[in-house]
Amino acid sequence: VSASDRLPMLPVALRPLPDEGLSGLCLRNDEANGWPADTLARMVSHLSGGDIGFASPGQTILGTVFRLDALAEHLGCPLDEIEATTLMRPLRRLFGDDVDPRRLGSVGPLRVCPTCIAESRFIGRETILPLVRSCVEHQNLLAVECSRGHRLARSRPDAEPFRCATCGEPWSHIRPIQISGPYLLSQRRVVHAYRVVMERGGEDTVARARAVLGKNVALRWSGAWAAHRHIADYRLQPRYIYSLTSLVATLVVAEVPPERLFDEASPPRGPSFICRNRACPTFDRSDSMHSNGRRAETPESYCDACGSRFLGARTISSFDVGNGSSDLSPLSVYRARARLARFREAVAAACRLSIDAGDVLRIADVLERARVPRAAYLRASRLGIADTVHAWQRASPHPVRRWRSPAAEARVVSTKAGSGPGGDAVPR
Amino acid sequence: MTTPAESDHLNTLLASRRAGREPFRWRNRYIPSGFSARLLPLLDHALETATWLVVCARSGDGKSTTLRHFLAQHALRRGADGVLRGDVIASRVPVGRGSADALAVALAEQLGAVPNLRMARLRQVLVGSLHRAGISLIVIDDAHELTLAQLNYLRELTDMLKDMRRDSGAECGLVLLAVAATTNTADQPLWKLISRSKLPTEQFDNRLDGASPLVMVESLSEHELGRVLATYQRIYEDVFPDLRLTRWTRSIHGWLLDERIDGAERGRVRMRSVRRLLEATLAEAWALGMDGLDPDGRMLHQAAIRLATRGNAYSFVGYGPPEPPMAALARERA
Repeated sequence: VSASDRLPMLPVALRPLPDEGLSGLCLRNDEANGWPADTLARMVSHLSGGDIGFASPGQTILGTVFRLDALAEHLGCPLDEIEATTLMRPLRRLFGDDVDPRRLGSVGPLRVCPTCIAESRFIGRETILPLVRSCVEHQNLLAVECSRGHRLARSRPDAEPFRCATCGEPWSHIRPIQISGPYLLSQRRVVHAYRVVMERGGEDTVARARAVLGKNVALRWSGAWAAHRHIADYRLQPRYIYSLTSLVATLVVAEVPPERLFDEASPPRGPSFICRNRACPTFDRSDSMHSNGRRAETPESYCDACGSRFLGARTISSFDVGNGSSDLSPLSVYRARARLARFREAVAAACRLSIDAGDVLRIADVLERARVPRAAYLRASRLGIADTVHAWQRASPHPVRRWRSPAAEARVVSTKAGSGPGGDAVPR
Repeated sequence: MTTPAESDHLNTLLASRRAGREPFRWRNRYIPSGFSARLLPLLDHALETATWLVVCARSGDGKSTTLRHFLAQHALRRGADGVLRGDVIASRVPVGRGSADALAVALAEQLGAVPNLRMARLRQVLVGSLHRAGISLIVIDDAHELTLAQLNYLRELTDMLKDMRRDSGAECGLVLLAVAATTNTADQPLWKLISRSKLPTEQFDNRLDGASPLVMVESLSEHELGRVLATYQRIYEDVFPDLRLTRWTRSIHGWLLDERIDGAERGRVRMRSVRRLLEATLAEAWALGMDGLDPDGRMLHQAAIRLATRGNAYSFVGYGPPEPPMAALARERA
């Protein structure tokens, strides 16, 4: 729209609320002007030659059927504010300019929180995301039907805004269903993961997620999420992650904090990323150092040789009395050593129990049975916990068979058979 | 017939243009005049008392210009809550569309974007918008083109607005600005329509101001013309420091009273004629590079003659005065 051809503003022009979605914004303006539902959306979509009635929900929340600049003109507010009501900008950052509604996953029907509608006529832009089924603010299940079982369709001629298009019941009168416990927790994790990925995500986020999640991490805890099918069904092998929703679902099911994608994306390599334990063979080197996320914006790291942990340049835990750090009192080192001794005993006992029970000794299962935290620094070679499990594995009548891809399996078989790759011994 | 003076005027302008001189730019501003001083209080009165009036004036008196000035004083403003509010809206009668729907759309456009709704719904929406905006006066320009359906719609609209404001008791005034060629009310098409004895127009008539519903606003008197000329003199004093227009007030008034220009019925002149006369004269003075008008007022007088004979003769464009036909015939024979 050129400056000389400005579109007229609405008689009542309401600006977007923070985190409001495009649908909610249009409906609020329709209601304030006394118009039927979707009048403003149709007005703007006609300008771009489209029709909101034929648009998919994905196109609607991306704003691709809208001329957002025209909507900004009608509401007299900056284009940035209108774009913030759609998910176009975060998706462009994640997947480049060629944004497709499929990048969101399959978007379901319109969902609203009755309490949000009653309080402020608010429909958040996150409520339509595939994994979000509840309003974490009011701890309500999002409604998809009115009290009489009619779908919350928006587009019907002369339907009033924020009312059921079939029976006219106000959406605010739908009885809210409270959620709590594990379901609320899972929804909080989903919303948090969406927010973090959409706010901080960039072009390399999907690739980074594939690397961070890995095969084993992505598939862990799968049993615990059986109750949350709508989330677990979206979880994918990391290499197949294609959409924002599959990325979030895989993160949530694997219980990987979404911040890890971005903390590890820029590992704090440099002068502070060295082992500061004088008793460690890798002292003053970064060979065995690993990032352990961030704490209050300070990078945390650990040494996989000695198990010491560092926050920036400060040593926060160590199992060696002679670590040479002034940050750590000897008392805390002694406590750590005592705890380590208990862990070793517990692990040995758990290994013995597992063998007696005829179980395959997997380190994750053993640590869980021994009630040892699954922290990576506890698997440092000098601490002996991992070595204990490995020793018991060697002695076990049920050896752990590592999972290998068919190609890797073929290589192993061919090596054992003494023939080269592609030889006769390679099974097809 | 074309006089040499007339052709000289147009040729002077064109010669100046050929010489690369910038054309004269008329400064299009609102000039407070005697006419606007009479019309503005009427509009204010209608706004304050929610009166219904039919206000007539001659074409070219400055009704629309004065109305624009009035609207600028009562412009709609958007509050912090995003709602457009104001006292007055005005609309022109949609040309060539005599339906009530066309008038409803024209009124709705004054309040912002108009959605594509069924007309029954749009009419409801318009009433809601007028109520929300707090409109107390509707002005219809060129109201002589109103049809019976549109008059009825205006009645219905104001009635619905009144119903909506029953609690506050606030009513909505209506001013119909129409053109009247003469002082005879029988010549006024709008009044003829209203004064018919049929029931709908009678209902409309009932709502008009009791004692004096039909008002004629007079044009400029000689004294008011002098003040207008003084204003123009001030406006152009930077390009014509020696303009001294006011000394020609009586002459201009006399020239413009020619029946071919303004008619001499009431001894008053129209603003449009004053503007045309001044525009032509100042353009010529600008083309000739003068500081003001010629001392004997010849340019003004010739412009008045051109106004009087306007449209009755061709203006010949050439490099000199046109040849008399007999001279051309003689040359051809020779």
